[in-house]
Amino acid sequence: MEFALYLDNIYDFKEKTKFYFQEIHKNINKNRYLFLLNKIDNLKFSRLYFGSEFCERLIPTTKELEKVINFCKKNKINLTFMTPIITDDPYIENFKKIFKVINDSNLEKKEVIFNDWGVFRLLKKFSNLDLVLGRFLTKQKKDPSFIEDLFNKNFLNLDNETQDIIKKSTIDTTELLKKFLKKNDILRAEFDNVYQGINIDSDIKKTLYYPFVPVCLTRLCKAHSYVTKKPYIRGKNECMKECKYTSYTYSINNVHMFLKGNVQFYCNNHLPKNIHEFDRIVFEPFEFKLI
Amino acid sequence: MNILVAIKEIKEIEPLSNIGATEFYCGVKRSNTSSLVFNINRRCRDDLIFKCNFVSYDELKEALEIVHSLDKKIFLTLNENYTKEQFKQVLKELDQISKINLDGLIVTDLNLILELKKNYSNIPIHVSMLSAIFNSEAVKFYKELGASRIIFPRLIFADELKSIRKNCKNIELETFIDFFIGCPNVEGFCSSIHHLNPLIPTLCSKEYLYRINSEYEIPPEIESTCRICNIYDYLNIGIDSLKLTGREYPFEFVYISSYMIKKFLDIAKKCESKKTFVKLVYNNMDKVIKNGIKELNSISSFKIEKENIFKFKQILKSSILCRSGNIDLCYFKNEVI
Repeated sequence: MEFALYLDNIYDFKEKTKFYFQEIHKNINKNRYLFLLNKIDNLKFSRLYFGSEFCERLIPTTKELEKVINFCKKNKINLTFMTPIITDDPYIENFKKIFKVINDSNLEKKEVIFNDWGVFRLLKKFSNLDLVLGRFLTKQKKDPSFIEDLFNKNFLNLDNETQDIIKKSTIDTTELLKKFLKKNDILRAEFDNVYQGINIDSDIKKTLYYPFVPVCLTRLCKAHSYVTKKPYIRGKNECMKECKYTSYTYSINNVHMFLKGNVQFYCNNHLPKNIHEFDRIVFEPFEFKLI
Repeated sequence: MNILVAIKEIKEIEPLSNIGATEFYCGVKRSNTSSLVFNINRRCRDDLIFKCNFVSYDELKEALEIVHSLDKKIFLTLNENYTKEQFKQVLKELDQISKINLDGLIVTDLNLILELKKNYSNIPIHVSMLSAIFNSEAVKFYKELGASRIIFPRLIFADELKSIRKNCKNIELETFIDFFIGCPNVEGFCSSIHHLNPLIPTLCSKEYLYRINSEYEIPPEIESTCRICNIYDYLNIGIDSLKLTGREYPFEFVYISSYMIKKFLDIAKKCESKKTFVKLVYNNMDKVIKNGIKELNSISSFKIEKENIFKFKQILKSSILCRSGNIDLCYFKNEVI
């Protein structure tokens, strides 16, 4: 099993990388998630997931990226760069520069995850990059609000077909799509550790994110308003990247939820029974500084 | 610029057409089961008291004949993401759809788009807002897959549309102009189970759960779903179609909204600046709504529910900031392209 560490910013980069890469053997027993992962296989992070999946405003600068690339080179760590949905200006041009930096770096295995087919189209021009289908494009059902009742026959009484559907994704629906992905050299897809389990019938390499599951995303981010206590007005709002240091928690039908910037997550501690079908686990450290 | 309106019954076509709707969209749901296998249309909540889709392809065919006789267009939604089991049902539907002279199929699933490209090239592909297209490169991607129209998500801003139009010439662009949907999520990236059943408490549209649960002080939110002032921008950008949703809303809502959009579109065509347009919108809003209600009451083929008109007025009051005295806080009024 390949283990990857998820970092969406370079704050405390030195401390975090020391904790998870250089001194992981000391820290496994300090964290119950790491402890659980270590039971699956000998836990050693050999890949870094870096970038922004959820917001174009958080895309790292080329300088930040170069710092990360240097770290990866020095420590023989593989790099996977994460990308969000983007708008034209200035992000298309920014990404061209960023992808060139990764493409031209002499890292051995470099991947880019796309969650936007427009970003995929940009990426096709860079021949040294491995393309990965992001977790927002694999279209799993992630609604956490009725988790408790999902398999309770006395309540929802979902028929078997429906129970099967909520475990599925769309990437194994037709041979046409499987061929399309192969033809475009998309050989890996990303999945969330959804509560109901995962059932994917495809040869594509599969990654599992653990333990946080992003459920929905907005462009009407209220992080700035929440921090400054100013009224939130719908539209394009100020952003001081407050989401990097704030998050909020609440519950829905007894499921614990987290709001971080423009994304809502839930946490699933349990790994799926068919974990052996995945060849990579991305560990998302608990970086929510709750307010 | 076309005005695209949701319909759920044949009798809605003529009155909506008379007030300026030039395009229509609808869904067909033949089964009333809540099983996800048959949930191949994103609005699937039809039951005995709630209807938002046609119930058969015969009904759709009849609608098509009427719409085409009026020299207008009709599009069908098949806009979910499908698993293998669901796709079997979709293929059956495609068999039916290919036999009728449809003007466009609204889709999001890449499996379905590839299937249409390969085996049903006569059906125009409209890529749904559920595909979350926010940039020119994504438009080009879908165009290469055979799309003839792109429908943008609600949360795209006018300057972003302007840039896309500049970079993508030979494809139709459609955007939303409605008042009802307050959901703050990017629909294409929301994984909740959409309106499966009103009795099941899903996450759908409930971004404010945090607010409800919060023990802390949360600043007030001033939210408007109104984009009327953007009509001027959309006209100048070169948007091809303005979409007004409302399959699940009473006919009264859809009618008055369509009436308003048409009137303000006519006004926008005569305006030389956005500032003038915004002023005219503000000054004429009440009159236009009043006239819309008057027109609605004159339709003899419909039994108009007074209660629905009252509800509609309440929604307008809460969703149109300039009606509630918050005109200065309206982002879209000041949006510059």
